[in-house]
Amino acid sequence: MSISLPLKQVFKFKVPGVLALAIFAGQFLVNELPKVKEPLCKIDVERPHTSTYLKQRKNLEILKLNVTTECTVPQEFTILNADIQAIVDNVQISVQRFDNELRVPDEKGRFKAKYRDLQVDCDSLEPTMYFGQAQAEIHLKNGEVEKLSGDSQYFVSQDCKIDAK
Amino acid sequence: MQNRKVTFYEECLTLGRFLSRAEKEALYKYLLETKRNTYRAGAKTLLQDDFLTVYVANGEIQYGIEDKHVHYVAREINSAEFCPAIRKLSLHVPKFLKVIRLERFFAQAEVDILSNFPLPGDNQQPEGGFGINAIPFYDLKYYSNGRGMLRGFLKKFENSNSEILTKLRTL
Repeated sequence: MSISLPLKQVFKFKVPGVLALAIFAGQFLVNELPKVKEPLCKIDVERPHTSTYLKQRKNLEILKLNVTTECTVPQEFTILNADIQAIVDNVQISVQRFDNELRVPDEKGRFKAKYRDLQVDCDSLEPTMYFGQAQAEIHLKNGEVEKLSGDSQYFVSQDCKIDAK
Repeated sequence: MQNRKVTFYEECLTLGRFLSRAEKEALYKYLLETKRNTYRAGAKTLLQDDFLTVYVANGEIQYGIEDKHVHYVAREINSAEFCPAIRKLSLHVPKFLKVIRLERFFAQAEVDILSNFPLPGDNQQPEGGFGINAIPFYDLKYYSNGRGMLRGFLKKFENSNSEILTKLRTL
């Protein structure tokens, strides 16, 4: 007994026209729509902390905000806008802004721009809660510009009070 | 023998990254006042030769003119690597204005160098690459934080930094 396969039926199978068009359009959309780009850079905003420096032979306390931008491709420079926020009398206020600070990555690699001099003099040593936030515009060597922002996640207490300007 | 007291300006030469924005702004004005003749002579040399080298604190500045724009590159003395030319200023103006523009450009460049390559002092400088304020003090947009020249013009007179400037002139 011979077995006959329904080959003719298989080859006769037709995709309805509307369905074919939908598949085609779907394929087009998947391939042609702009893809969400993987970010090339990241920003690290550390918690504000105190440090000491000498000025006119006096030990002065300062509050520092360290920020780093790091990319997977070489960067030309980063322009940063940052601020230190404090809780004063139960109200969150900005006590110091750092506007349009430009840094060139150091010679060890062109991938990281470090901000280690965002600082403000303490007016007294009264404990105060601080928080840092920053927005960066990173100019990459290939001409692209990446924009990103970050913050220090939560408030920390430091023995330094800055009077809001 | 009595030790001479260090002036506030001399201390500024050693502060580097510890110079605040207000101090840099006052230094810019102070340098424009006190070094105007040096800057004028430098501007004439630069316009004639298209090249000028100047040493400030612990840094070397090389100015150049290309396509009617002045720029500078700088490095720490005895260092091999120059920072890239980031600041540029157009010189598409009459000659007397070119000199004025160059004077301001020189003062700004020297403040940039003072904060990056200071003289050795009591304060250990934090790490990090070459850093400057993206909008220069000679640009009115600096005073409006990039939000227009007219607003900058009005705001310029609000923040005079006169206290620090007085300290620079007298102490």
